[in-house]
Amino acid sequence: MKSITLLPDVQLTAVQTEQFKTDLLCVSFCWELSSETNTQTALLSRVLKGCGGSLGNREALNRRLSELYGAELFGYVQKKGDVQVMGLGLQTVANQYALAGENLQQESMSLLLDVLLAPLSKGFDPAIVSLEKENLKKAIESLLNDKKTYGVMRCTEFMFAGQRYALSEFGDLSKVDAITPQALLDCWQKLLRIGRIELFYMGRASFEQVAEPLKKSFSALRREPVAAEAVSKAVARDAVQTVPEQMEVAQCKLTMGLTTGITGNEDQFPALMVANAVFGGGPTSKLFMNVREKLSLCYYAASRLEKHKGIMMVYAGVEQDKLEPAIQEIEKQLKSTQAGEISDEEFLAAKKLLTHALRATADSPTQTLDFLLGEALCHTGRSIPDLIEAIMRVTPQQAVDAIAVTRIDTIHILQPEEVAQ
Amino acid sequence: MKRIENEKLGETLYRDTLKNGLTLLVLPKKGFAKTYAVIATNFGSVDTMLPDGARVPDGIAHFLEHKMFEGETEGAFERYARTGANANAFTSFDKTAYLFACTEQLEQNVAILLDLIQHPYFTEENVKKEMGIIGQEIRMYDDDPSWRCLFGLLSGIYHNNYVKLDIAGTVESISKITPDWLNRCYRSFYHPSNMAFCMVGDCDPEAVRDMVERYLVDMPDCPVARSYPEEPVSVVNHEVSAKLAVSAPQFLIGFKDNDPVFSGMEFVKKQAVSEICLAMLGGAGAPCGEGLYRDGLIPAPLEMEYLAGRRFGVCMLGGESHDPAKVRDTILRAAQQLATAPHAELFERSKRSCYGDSLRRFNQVERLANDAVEWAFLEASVFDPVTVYDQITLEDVSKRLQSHFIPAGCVLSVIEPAAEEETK
Repeated sequence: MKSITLLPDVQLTAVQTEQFKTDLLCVSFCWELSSETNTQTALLSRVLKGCGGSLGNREALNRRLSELYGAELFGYVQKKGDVQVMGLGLQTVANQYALAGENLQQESMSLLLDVLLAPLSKGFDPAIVSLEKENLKKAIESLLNDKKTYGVMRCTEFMFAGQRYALSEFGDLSKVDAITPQALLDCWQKLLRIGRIELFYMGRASFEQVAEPLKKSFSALRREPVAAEAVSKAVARDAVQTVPEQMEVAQCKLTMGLTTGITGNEDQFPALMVANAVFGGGPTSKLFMNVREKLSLCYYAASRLEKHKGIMMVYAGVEQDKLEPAIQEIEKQLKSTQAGEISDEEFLAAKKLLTHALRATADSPTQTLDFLLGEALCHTGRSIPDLIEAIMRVTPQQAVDAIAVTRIDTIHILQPEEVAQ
Repeated sequence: MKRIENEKLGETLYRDTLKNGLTLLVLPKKGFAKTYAVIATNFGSVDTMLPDGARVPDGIAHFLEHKMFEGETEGAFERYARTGANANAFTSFDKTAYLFACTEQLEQNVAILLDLIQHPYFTEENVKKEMGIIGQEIRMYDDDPSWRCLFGLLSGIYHNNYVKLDIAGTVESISKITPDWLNRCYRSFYHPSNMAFCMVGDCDPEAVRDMVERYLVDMPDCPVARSYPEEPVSVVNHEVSAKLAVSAPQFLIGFKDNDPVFSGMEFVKKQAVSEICLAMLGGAGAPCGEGLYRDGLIPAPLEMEYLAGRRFGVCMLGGESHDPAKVRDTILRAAQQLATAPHAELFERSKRSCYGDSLRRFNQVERLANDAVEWAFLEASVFDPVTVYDQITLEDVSKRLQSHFIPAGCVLSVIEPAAEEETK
């Protein structure tokens, strides 16, 4: 892996490997998550693809992609702490599998760069902007279809009401209609000018083969990068807030947001990772072994850290009449972890779970990208071997100390109708 | 051990049949951090009868999968936790698989996997406990629009084929399960000659074979008897729908595959031809799919799959639309047009695209190993779906469009949004 600063706030990380049958190139743009731009940013990931760069429209772009052996050009938006990430990626079959000697790697890189940059001279076709606005609205509305992720989203909204992190990376439904093609172009120009740019490649090409065309394209841009801070530690609430939400569901979805007091850039974070794994990561965690196995209350019960905000999310699918016992058991297991009731086996299992997952990251280009982006936005410069080493050094006492101030902030319950509390 | 090399792919498959009848497959892959192993039995939710003719409770293959992790003194998850493996299992329509991925202690993990598969441990207590857990799993799927849409489709397509049964069964059907039932299923279907093992990752095939031979010692073999119900050519219902809390209608359009070939090279070819047909209808750059998107009928590209296995097959196109019936009609018209007026350029592009997709399946150790086992059960090799493209002609595709993508075999399954009052 080689990572260099190609230009001010334009970082390129390239991994040359023959592991995969495909190459992946991703271009991610990061800037402040803001109510003025989050909707337009989400729309950009769709409109860029929809306009198809110099090819003029989506159908022409898709025809070209299918000729390139079904190359996949995908857009993505993410929220990492108080930063919104928007990007396009292109996964192409490696050159050696081309049946007529085509240089797929070169063609696909040119294609991706064209899709991103052609609008700067062409503008955005109003008909395409119009269509993609409708599609974005439908996508935002459809977030409720996956009940588990919807619960996490809503819990976050209530936990951070009035704060930046409550904003959705997919945008605000009520703000879509007002976006004009010009306003969208202005937004794109601004993002290109001030945003942090992360370039990521994983495939068979050499570093030079990748760096050269990328440097050429991006150095043509006028850049005035503005640093955006992703890390923004959540402050604990005085009393737990419980938010029931009615929806016609067969099974209630319980989501709990907790503040931990430790963000990813802090020394204690690896210890918190271990404590979280003991508590709710994997099939030997306290949540799995008790809420699921011992009490048969659910099929899934787990916890997950968000390192930029310094929070933890716990989620479980539970029968309505078992909500109270489930909440109580989750609280009990948290207290148990905080009290240091951790056996040697639990502790070892937690470390092994984490180190295995970290080592496994290298087998997935998209997971590798996500890790790099997350660490870059935490300013740690930490590599996977670094993090593995830090985790291995964590002692039981350090893990207990790290989770000491974790406390429940918000409980969100998706349920069919009101239950007498 | 048999060594099958595919130079173009840059992959080598090692295959052997052990003395006890087990099919062993190894695909060494350099440079991967994970090594993945899976052992599967050719027994799934479609297998509803025991050899003695008894009808099993629905969902038992899946229930059995959950229970195989129990042990007399400790469960398999606790053992894997010490060796650092990420272990899991799954049940599909026609097989049950037990697996792990690890980055260390490979032999210890293989030992745990083969121990759990040979030494089941069922008690009244641990069976009762699992009913609560699986009950919640079933309820979780009850809220999943894609899952409900799929089983709606299958119930519309099949009169008798047991592929329409929910893989986990129902809360009622699993309440009938006892240790005795689990033992009977285990003894009927968990035999080496009915099973396959595959490892993918940085490993030595000979060493793997030795390991498996050493650890898999307590599994007697015996032939497996199966029965399948008669299935008419017709579908049950051309339109099926249910209501759930979704933002807009979710749909699946399915075409019933009445061609009886579901194994061997002929099936590999049928699958590839089907996938090309689907790509020509709804794939990137396909006029029909692009038209649907442009006209605002679908807000995202159609998702397509040829869902097939032991004696069942459905070509499916799905997504979201405010007018699913119109999407179906558009697709039927496009299929008919393509069948009668072959589009050579679209065919070539779609073939290329599907070829690219077949290569992608070699990127992940998990997917590759699961595919290898599946193809072993279907009497083919995991390389065949890639190499078959050379043989496929425009005529193959036209024939398939004519015989398969037709109104008579077409079912539309829709999940409609629940009414306003219900979601408030």
